[in-house]
Amino acid sequence: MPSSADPATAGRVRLFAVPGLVMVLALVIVPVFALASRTIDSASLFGVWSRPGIVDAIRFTVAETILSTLVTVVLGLAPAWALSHHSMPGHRFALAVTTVPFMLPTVVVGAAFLGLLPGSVERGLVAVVVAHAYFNVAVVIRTVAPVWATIDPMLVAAARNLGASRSRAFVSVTLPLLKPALLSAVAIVGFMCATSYGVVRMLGGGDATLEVEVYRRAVLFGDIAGASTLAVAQLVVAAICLFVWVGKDRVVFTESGHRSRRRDHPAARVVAVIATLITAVPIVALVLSSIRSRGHWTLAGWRLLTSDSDVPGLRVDLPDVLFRSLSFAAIAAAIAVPIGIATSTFAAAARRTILDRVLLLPLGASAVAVGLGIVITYDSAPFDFRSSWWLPPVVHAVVALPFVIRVIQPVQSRIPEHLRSAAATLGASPLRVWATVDVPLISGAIRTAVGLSLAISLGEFGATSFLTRNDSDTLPITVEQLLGRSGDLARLAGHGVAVVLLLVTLVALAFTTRSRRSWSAS
Amino acid sequence: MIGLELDAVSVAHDERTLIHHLSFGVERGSTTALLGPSGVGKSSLLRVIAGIDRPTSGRILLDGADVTDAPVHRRRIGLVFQDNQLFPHLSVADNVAYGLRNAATREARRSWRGARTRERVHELLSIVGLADRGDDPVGILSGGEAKRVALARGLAPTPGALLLDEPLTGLDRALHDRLMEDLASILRTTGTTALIVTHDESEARFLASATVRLG
Amino acid sequence: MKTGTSALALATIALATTVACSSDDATKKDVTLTIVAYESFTPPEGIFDAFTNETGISVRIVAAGDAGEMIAKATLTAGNPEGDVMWGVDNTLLSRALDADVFDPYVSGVDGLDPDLVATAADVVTPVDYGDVCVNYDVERLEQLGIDPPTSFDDLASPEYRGLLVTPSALTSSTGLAFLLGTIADDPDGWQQTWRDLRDNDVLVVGGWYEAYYTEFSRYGGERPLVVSYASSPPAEILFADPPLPDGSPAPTAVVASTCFRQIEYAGVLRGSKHVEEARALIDYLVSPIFQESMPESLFVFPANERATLSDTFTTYVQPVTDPLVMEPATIAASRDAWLEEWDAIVG
Repeated sequence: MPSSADPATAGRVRLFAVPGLVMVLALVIVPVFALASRTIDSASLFGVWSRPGIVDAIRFTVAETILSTLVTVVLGLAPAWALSHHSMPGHRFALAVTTVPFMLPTVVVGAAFLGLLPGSVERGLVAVVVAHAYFNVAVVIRTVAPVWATIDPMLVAAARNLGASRSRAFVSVTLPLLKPALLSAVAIVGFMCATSYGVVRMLGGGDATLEVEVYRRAVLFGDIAGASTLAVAQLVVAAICLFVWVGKDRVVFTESGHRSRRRDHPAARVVAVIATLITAVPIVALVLSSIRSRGHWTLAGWRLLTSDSDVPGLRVDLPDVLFRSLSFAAIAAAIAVPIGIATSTFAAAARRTILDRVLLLPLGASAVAVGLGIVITYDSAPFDFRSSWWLPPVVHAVVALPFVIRVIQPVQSRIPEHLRSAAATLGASPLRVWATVDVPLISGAIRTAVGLSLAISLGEFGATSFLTRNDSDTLPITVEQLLGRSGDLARLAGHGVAVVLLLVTLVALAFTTRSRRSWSAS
Repeated sequence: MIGLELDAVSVAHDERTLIHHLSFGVERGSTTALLGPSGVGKSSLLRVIAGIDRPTSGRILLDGADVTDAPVHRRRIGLVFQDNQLFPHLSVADNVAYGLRNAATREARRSWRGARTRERVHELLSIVGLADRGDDPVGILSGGEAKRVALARGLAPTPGALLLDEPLTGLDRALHDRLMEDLASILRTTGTTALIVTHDESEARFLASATVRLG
Repeated sequence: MKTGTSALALATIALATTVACSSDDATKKDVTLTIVAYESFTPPEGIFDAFTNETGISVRIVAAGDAGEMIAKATLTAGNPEGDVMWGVDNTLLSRALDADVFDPYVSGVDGLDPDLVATAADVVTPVDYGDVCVNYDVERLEQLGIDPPTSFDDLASPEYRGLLVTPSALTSSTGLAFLLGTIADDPDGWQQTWRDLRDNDVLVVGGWYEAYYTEFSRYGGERPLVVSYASSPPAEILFADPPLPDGSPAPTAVVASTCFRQIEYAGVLRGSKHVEEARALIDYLVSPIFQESMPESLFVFPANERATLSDTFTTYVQPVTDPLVMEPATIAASRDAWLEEWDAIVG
């Protein structure tokens, strides 16, 4: 949609922002505040802070969030650079593999990883930071690599030609141009680390984040009031961070707008291979765990999953579960992508990023609070859908939404205005312009967004584990069920289902496009 | 005195040898034109001379010193790109000042602190006729203005030699002629050893005192 | 435009309403009862057919997280529940549910229910099963190390067993919590010292049961031959062994009986259910021998109905824990928070 002065169009464009806003409001903000208003009283409002462990949890949360984000971004730069070379052979594969850990349930990958290490791991801040980096580097890669691809190598050459050493050129030219993407990555990674539960529970040792405390308060201690207070505080801090952060978000693009002709750097291949291998190690461990138990190789787990064998207590209807997961994923993508396109169109036209930030909020909210909040908010007609089968995929869509937007918006904002003007002068109405200019040019990004939404939905576990499911077990839930039992077969089968989840996620990710269609700004 | 010299330089691109054992010299303070049709390898040659790419053989000498193995940022051979390559995140003045603030040696960087840089930038912007445009973002510059800024930026650190890749190509007639005169006069006044790539005979004749033909 | 925005808002609400209403079922003729249970409640396929055939009532199960999460939601939705019957509230969580008035009182009168279990049910719910949280040991590894299996908490704290025990944290795992409660039940005045000794004896505390059992337990490649798990873990190791164990093989793992803490699970009618009579009938079915006998092998718990006969595997490999450690739900509720804080201070 052109940012035209036409008030009718401008008004209609504003409508595009509505669906995204409604989703975030209805499924995150309202539930959390509903829970808070129902349960908080003045006693808990002030009392919870003095409970032992809370202050420590706050300190730990701040420390691990900052450290994890820093380490993740720094570690992610090299792979992001490597994977900005689109024409590299195996690019799509490398991108999929390095992204997969982010999509998989943390418990599964974490456990596989721990199983690999000799002896016992020293649990604590360091382990948490390392694990966070491992899972979240994918975000840095996905956000930064496409932007890096647009930086003309000749621009860096120009800087060096003027006397800058390699590192100087990087700091004074490349980094500023990557800044918007980096900030985007920092925001997402920061939120994910701040609300991290699985990793901290497994590797935190005695330390806990605020999210873990929220869970503990609500579930273990039955102190839902205290948990709500913490959750609200968490959400408020997240909101403050979002809106105080980066006042001016003016994105700067290289003049030409072409996808630059990046020659295939040999070092890039090496880095890409290394990054892929490192990421793949725990994944390989996962696969091995499905066929190896206590030192011997066996396919018994797979036989259990694929045949009708009725070992009581380990009944898994794999095709049914797979179908359910895929249907949910499809629904989630079908919701997230159109809303993402609508929001992106709005943002491109309105040139404002505030909506963008609001849609990031779900990532900074406590899954516990959201889950419980939804249960008490949508419990009576006409909004009695807390137990509906379609609620989990809708929640998945809310989680996927910020990622969808991050993929589509940069591409859409780069469409030069004069292309739209040209179409308009040829007689196209604003809607037609959007359909015939914007949409085809972002088709590659849409494909990527679809792939990402599918992958996120397939592996989503945290937010939806609180929602009641009627016979609607998904792959991650089945994994949890199987891995909660003792015995070889249980463990083998559980890892087997995890491998199925892994494969399906990989396929979804590989579906993402290799490169944006290049178009010339003529 | 030879300012810039090529000694049997060969340049390859994608396994194809474009330039084969080329030797020539540019007089100190004078301008030489590099003439040839498109695709013959002129831009590649410039990149090799500047140090961005490696030659397959041969030597490059600046004021008598062999710089073939010198890294690009220490070579002091400036390059004005055909598509300008202005830094989009910096203003006009900051673009021009880049080579001063980011000079290769610490002493050089230190010597360019503060007022001295501001004066030099102003001086150069005046030379190219954009004295009052220092604070503008580069995104709003017209084609001709962008070329001028690129030129000012290349001249600012007083390079031992300046390479210009098709500096006048693609401009309309009036702008072309005006810029051509300005360019000749600037190069003359600053006494820069220059090598200009062009495919236009008349440009070569106007700007340069010597011509090397390729292809 | 304002008109456009409100029109869209109305459309959104209308759409939501339509979807919401379409999920409404419950006609008077076909009653479907909903059991709210925790995630790992996986009764055998078709186990409710007998019930349906007899009463005409269909049964469906909805999973609501783990037991703690389930209770949290139940306390919030008391009076407007997500189902008709709840399965799986246990003795560590019961008081919370009682305080929030989650249940419509009903204790099943079916023959055979263990009266000791019923006594703990506060006349509001019906006990359905029990299980024990005990220290499990790896038989083979202890033999290799030349150590006799421990027989008490004191043993665990003694130098001979230094660095051999792994337990999930009481703060993040209900299994860990049960183990802690066991030490408190065993020695109400001196449990703190026991834990100090355990800590000095290099006990490993991990986040959850999975890490403890599958990553740190020596049977699965870890270093620790003693792990806090369930009394049902040893039979599971046999039933689910790969390659399958030949008949008569010794059990690969066993429990330290004196460390077993009894967890009792209950089922109750949720207050606010629209089918109270039918729900009560379902609870009767849940404690009937038919259902109770299916439980050990599918849910790995012991039946509350003493009339239910156990399968061979269970009778052969299960060590009947005759004198487990127990604690009243009310006691747990009263002091749990304080105990957890103390424990955290000692161990954390």
